[in-house]
Amino acid sequence: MPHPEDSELVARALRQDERAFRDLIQRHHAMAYAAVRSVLGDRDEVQDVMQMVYLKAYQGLAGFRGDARFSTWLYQIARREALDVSSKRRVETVDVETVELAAGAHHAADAATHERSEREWIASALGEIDETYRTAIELRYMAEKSYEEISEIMSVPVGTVKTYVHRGKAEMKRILSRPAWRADASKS
Amino acid sequence: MSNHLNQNCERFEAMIVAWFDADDLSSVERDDLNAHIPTCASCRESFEVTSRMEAALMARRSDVPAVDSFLPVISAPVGAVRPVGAVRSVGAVRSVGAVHAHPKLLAAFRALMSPAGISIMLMSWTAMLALHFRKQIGEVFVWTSSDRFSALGNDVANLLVTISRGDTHVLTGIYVAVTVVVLGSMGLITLRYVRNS
Repeated sequence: MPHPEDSELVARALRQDERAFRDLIQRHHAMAYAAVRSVLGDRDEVQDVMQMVYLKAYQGLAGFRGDARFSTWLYQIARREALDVSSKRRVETVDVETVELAAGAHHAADAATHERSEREWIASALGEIDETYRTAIELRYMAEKSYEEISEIMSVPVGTVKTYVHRGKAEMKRILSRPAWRADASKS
Repeated sequence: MSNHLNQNCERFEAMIVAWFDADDLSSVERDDLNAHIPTCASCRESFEVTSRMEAALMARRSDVPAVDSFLPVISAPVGAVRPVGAVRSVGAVRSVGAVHAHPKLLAAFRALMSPAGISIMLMSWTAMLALHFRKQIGEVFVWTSSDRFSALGNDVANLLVTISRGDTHVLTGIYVAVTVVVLGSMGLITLRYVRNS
């Protein structure tokens, strides 16, 4: 049985078919999650933000006119919600983060020998690169989107997406080539 | 990884990143890289780092949790008893399901109930009230334009009395102009509110 188009699922969801809405969200869940993670990392707020994203999508579906793809529309909601939380959080915790950064610098030598999992290193490297590159990489790997799909979601040309991904990975590679990661790698 | 890459290695460095994207390297470039890596320690190390990075990035696919954990309320069928969770907007979704209203009606209702919508309704009501009672308002100004009020007050009162007695076109024009400007502004604010909500 062929999968229905997004537009068909949207139309059914607008007729109060909650199953159709659920299918729609299921289809784009990884993309929305990747978009939120690219802004918030693995913070505790991700869960709440994801719920808010789907609530907003549910409540705002009547306003979706179909000018853009549903994935683009959902991506924009996800990104806006994540940025909103991120900016609030930044204001609330700026002092604490400053202290943590200072403490982190003080113990930099210890960090080099501290054992971290491969995933943590990758998450850390992702956190250091430009947010646009990070978003493209998360969509590519976490959401398993093609360059063409990412191009539509982020509303940029395919070539630009490729550049984002390549530059992002090059930056990550530079970060991961630091002695700490390599030392950790040699242990594992 | 060595920081002293020669010019040749810089070319391969870019190719190593592209290696893991199936369509980004030509077969000739792949052959070149295959031939170079065994002969160059820094490129071999670079390839190993990139390979590990790619594997770790691929593993992020499994980090995506099931969608069910994010749809605690919406996933329940319409009309079914829904659990009341701690999510802030759960009530909003429950009411959407319970009313069974058309989405466009709901959007219109949300617009009306927004601060801008309420302002528009209040202003419209005030404007209609003022138009309806314009004669009485004029009489109040006549009364207040007695000796107790200043010359300026007299002028204003006389103007309004004149308007209310005969030339309602001026009064209507003023009302229409002000209403168009205010309603236009409020309409734009409402549109933005609805789009953002």
